[in-house]
Amino acid sequence: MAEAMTPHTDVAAYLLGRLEPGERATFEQHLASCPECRLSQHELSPVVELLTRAAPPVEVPQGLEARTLLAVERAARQEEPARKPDPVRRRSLLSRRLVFGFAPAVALAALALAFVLGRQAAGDETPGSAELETVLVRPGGVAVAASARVVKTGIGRIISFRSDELPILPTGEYYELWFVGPGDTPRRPNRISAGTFHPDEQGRSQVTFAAAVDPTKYPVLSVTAEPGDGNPQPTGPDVLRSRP
Amino acid sequence: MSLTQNHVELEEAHLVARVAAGDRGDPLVELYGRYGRPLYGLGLRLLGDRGSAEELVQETFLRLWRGSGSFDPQRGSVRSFIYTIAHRAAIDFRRRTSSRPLAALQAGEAGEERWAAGDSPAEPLETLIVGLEVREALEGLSSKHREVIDLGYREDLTQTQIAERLELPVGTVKTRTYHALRALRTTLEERRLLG
Repeated sequence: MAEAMTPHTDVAAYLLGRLEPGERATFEQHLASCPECRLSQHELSPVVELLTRAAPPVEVPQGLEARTLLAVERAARQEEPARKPDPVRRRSLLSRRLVFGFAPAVALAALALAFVLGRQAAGDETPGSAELETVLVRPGGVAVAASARVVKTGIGRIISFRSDELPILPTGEYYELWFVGPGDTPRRPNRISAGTFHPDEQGRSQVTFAAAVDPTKYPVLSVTAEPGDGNPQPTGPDVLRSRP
Repeated sequence: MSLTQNHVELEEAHLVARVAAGDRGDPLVELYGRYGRPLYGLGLRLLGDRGSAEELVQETFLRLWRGSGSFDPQRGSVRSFIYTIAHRAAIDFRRRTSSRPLAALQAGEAGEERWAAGDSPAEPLETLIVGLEVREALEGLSSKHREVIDLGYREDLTQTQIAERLELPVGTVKTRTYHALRALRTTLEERRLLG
């Protein structure tokens, strides 16, 4: 009765010692005459043994990834002295309206990154009080290109964004920072804008936005280049993106 | 020791090669995704506090970036490369912050991660790393799979009790548990944790 209907998947519960005593006896009887279950036992016992040695869950502090990647980035730029960007050269690159995300041949000169994430003063934030700290990378790019920090306030969020890597855009165009939710596609976006900005003449973008967005629902940050056509839909591809 | 590398080891070796070639973007992000959390856990166990653990993670990635050119996939895996770097960084950290060498450590949850000055650190460190890597493998499971495994361990429950807790039929819990162990086996194999 129960013996004939013992599902083979019971072997897992058996090995984990989670069968009730009666069930265990039944399964052991089954095991004696089932090669498939004996094979499973052979394959899964080591897994169960390793499980008993698993460390408890580790909770990593918010922003550790961003701080770690930025630490490498800072060290890299200190140890490989960067050439200052030639503003004229950059504008002429851009006047050809390259699509940055898909033009890896565009060699943007490495800039000296002077900022230290978590120590920018935007009000009285303290390091570690951020709801979200992240770095953004150019798709296929070779270095961290930007950083962002989100602090929750009573009425919404304050987002600090910093990048030295975004080229100056032709007049009338601008960058837009987005919070991207799951399932976002170019045809059916699922993203909320935090705002728009221009780099300054030195190619530095340092902006603070206030936005009513919940980064737990829209956890990825991205930057697009947008034409100034009054259309709130994102039109460009993501030129920068954070990890989910 | 296996003579051929599996696909995970090859992927990781390729990531380190890209870092060595100057790519500080995606490859580092990928490597952090793979090793960041277990390294933080290692820092907590070896150094005792969250600030030091964070410093250990940062220092390990700094040294990984600087030393990426010397990684030789023929000589070992990225896994052993990174944990060796982390271990040395932890020793240096302890040397800097205390006059005593890495002496007796507190026992871990299971009570076996104890090592005293004079003991060869190799074996207990490996035990610590295995524990963290197994946890990382668990975190890689789908939440449904992880849940049936974890719940039973955390509170020493039977399938029937787990089923009650999760409000699922017992049969579902048993099947899910089976698939969870199977998925875990695949991950543990890929990470060379199954002997």
